[in-house]
Amino acid sequence: MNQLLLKEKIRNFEKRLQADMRNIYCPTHLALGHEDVAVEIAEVILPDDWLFSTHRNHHHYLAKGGDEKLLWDEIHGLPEGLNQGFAGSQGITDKKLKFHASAILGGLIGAAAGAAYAEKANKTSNIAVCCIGDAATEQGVFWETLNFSVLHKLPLCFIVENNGKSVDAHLWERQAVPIVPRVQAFGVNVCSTVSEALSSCREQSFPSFIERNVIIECAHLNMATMLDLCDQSEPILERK
Amino acid sequence: MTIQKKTFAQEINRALETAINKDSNVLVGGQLVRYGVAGLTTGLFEKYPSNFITYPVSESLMNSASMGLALAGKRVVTIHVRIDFLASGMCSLVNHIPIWYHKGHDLPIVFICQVGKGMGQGAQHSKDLSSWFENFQGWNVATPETPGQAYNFLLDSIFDNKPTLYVIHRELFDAKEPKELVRRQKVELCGASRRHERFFYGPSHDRTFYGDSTDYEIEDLSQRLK
Repeated sequence: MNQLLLKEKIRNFEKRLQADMRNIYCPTHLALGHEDVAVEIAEVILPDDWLFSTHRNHHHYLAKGGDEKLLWDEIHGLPEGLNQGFAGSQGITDKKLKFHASAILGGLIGAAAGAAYAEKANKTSNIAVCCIGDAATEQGVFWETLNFSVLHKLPLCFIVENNGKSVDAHLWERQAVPIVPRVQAFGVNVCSTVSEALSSCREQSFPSFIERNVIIECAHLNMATMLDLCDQSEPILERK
Repeated sequence: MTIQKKTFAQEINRALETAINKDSNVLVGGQLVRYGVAGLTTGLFEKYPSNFITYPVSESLMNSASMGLALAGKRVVTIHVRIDFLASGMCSLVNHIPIWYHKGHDLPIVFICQVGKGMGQGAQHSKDLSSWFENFQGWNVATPETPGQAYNFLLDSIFDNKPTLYVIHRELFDAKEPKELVRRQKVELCGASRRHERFFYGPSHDRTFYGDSTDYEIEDLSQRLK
């Protein structure tokens, strides 16, 4: 799909959800502002590659070729939904597309390593792409997986979408030093574009990493139907 | 001619080899699988290296990677030397594996781990977490009580598509005769001394476990464990 078309598809989908939030009963994290990363992934990811995602996953799912209606119905809790309404927005999975998302921050990083290990054991050229946010790099399993993936030369590509926030908490109050030099110290290939990260991972069958800064254009969590413990107000964007 | 009785470790070892020969997708992982894990994998790593994964001391990764391997079509056996080490990587055991199973994904994963008893292992190594998993939708719990069951339960679990916690009770592991296992509904905590064990396992513990008939005092732990 054309890049502009995919970007529009994602934005339109998220805006339609935003407008329909009163009819949604599950915690829903919109990806407005994150869609460029998904467009860049879509350019280079292959159908047999794995894509692991997070609580904020609609853009990744659509970039992997996901079906808009199945996703819409899942988020609305309908039996026709992608996971028959059992998963909700945050935990969608699609066996055919090799796509999995979880609400637990960094929860699927190790699963991505397992999938990458299996692909390597099966001697395929498929890779596992693991999308996470900046805060997931604060989880121990991220560092465990960096070490393991370099040790076993796994075809595992980490994409960090850094929007500078973990719910309400800013990056500067959570992390002592920048992420890239710490990842570099493990010997992972640190790349400067998403495309380069996926390509080098596939060509070298070796873990790669890209930190991609984004500006989120919506609230951390959109939930019209219940109170929650975090700020749901829409951000005031200060664009350059 | 006397027929040598097989031990738990030998039967688990035999089940792993049978499984590997039956399906090349069987992958056995653990931190010490290269070194035999007290007999469970002795001789197998050298014979079937491509069916083994050696992990760093990274339990969160081990448990989560087990799910990724299973999603990719592997039949996964992950060995933790003790059940409390399994619990060190609890996230995927609670937040992903049972839920993904109920989302319709086959997850042929067996976590093998051991519950200790006696020898001062105390609350750390002798607590039995089985009842947690028995009460958790999406998990099977297999607790063999004889070497024959150890073989059959392990093979059944590896070729089932539902995740299984396979619990070895240390007291049975090298038992020469069958022993009755005490099943506890709650996770209960024993102290790390003989006087605590006497209270926890009962006054016959010294005789039945250590073969020591001395009449020792028992320390009542009920106040501490309230």
